[in-house]
Amino acid sequence: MLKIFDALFGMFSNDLAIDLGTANTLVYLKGKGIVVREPSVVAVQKMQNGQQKVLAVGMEAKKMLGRTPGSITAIRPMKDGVIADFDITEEMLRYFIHKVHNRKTLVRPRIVICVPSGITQVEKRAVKESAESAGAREVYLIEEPMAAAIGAGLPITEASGNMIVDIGGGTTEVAVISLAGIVYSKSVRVGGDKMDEAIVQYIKRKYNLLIGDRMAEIIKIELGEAYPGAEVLHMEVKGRDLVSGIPKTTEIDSNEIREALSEPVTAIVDAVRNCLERTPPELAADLVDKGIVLAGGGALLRNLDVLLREETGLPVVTAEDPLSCVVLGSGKVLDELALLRNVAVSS
Amino acid sequence: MTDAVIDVVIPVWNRLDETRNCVVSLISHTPDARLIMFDIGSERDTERLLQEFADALDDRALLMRDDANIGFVPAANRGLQRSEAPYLALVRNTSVVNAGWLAPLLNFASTHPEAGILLPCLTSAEAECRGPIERASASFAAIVITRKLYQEIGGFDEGLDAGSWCLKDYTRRACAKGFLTYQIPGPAVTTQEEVQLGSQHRRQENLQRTLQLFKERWGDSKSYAIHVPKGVDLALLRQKLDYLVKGARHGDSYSVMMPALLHKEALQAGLDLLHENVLLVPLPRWTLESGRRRVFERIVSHNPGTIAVAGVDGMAFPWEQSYISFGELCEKIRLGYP
Repeated sequence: MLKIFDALFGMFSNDLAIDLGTANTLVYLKGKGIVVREPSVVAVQKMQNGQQKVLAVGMEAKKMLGRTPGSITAIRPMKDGVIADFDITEEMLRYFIHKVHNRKTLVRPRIVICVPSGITQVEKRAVKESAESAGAREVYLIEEPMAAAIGAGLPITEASGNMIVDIGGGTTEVAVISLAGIVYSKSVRVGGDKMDEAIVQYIKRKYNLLIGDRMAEIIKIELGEAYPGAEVLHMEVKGRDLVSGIPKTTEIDSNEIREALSEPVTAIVDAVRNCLERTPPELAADLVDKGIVLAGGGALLRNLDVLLREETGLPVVTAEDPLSCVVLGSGKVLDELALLRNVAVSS
Repeated sequence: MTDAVIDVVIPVWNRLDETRNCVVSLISHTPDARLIMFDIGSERDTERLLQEFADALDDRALLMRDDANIGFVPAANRGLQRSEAPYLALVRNTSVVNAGWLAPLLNFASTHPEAGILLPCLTSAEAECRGPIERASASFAAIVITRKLYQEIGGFDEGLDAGSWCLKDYTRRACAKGFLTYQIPGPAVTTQEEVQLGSQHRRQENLQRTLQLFKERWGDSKSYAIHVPKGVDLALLRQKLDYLVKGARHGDSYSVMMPALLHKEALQAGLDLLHENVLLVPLPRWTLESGRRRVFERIVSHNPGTIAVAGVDGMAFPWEQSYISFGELCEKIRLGYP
């Protein structure tokens, strides 16, 4: 009987998949594809009575980052891949769900949310409750590497081993997947944010120049590389001179940025190596043929695949659309309920 | 040197709950044992659990660790290398032993010096556990080895499939040194089916390589269907079966078809418990010749390439033109496995 109702609700429901990332949140609407791709930022105004009022979410809030008056703060509620502020995360989820769903149908949506593989039961429960109170009919949680693997088109239900490295904003998830389950996973709190931080620190140390997070991100995108490329790229960087206190422009090159990124990149390589070491030999043998698949924004770091190939000796490929792999994967399972129930984690 | 009677090696890679159940059951039901827990790169929670057990058990435990997952068989071998007790056991971390599981095995071993490998009954076994019966195969779920055997042949071959063929090879190596493998009835060890990891293609490749190696080492195993006609008494049957057991220890399998009455007597005399590869098959009493022939055909369909054997020299095999005599079979066994 319940199954009949479920099928009926399913027909009228706008099911969603959400990749709740540290840097960006992506929402996939069943039958439509990715409908939201916005930064995971919330601008909050502190009221006189001590309560917080959400002013803006997403793109609009990101524009306020570092440019807000004292009473308004732009918060990133996700930090290092986990929820740092539950209330603000709930508000952000509510905003995204309403933006997409907007009660177009009477039936509340079924929602799939991706969570990092290392999060605790308490954190899982919190994400689930946040989504439920934001209007979800049913909430399923999928571990990010699993979603990324599905999104990258890996044959996860087969007995063969598949290795996915999902480099997000806050965490890097390395996982070996077989028979629709994560056989081994390693989550390190290193991702795009740590790379930005490393660039800020490097430029501060070397040029006494203070740059903002957004400038660091631009440098990472423009010049960042993990392994020396064919040509050395240059770029002008604007910031504030720490000695004189006045704005200054200086030129940096990709060799310097590679040096700046060496620490977070090494942490990622170590995580991959560690995962390979601990993978059962039966699956490790498969990885020799199939190699490693890179997903997440960090996979776009130039020559990261070359470095990993050099360090592990395995073939390394970058997913077709690394930024959307996770949400596309969770979107795919919305269409296959049996697979969804198979890969969803309990909370 | 510890005063433990048996060292139990448990290779562990994650599976926290199963590992806990396994170790707790071993602590509870294996009193004079030392547990050699070998952690092959488990995650932090499993690692912590093993450390807690090791701390609490003090001399009764040895915790070994390798950061890399070296695989079950290499881990088992390294654990066995560290054993010192007169008996060695290997138990998977997904198995749970029950009260009194070990006593029948050790009692049997103490009275049968030729017993090198002792196997407890397993809950996963398809057939009812009877015996003691000689076996040609074993299971990594739980296996006991005598120190004498271990000193003679060492650990498992890591170049094989880490499964049934690796164990078959071990029993054959034991047999080559004069040690036999027995399954002893007693409280069953609860086991879980192991999930086969790795791609189908890779597993097939590995199996082919293993079979090739096994064949090079031990030759082809053959299957025989022996027809024992009316008139053969129990004493003569026993003599014939004793020959067959010798062949069965070297991998050959024998289906001995006999009149129903003789079969009944053989069961009462326990002749069906000589070796797992010597199967006594009754020929139906109240049926036509075609019904009896079907019994033979069933055996052949299960084991293609089965060789027909006339159970008594000078008498023809009733359902097959080409056959060998029992005398020829005995000669083959004598020459093949001196």
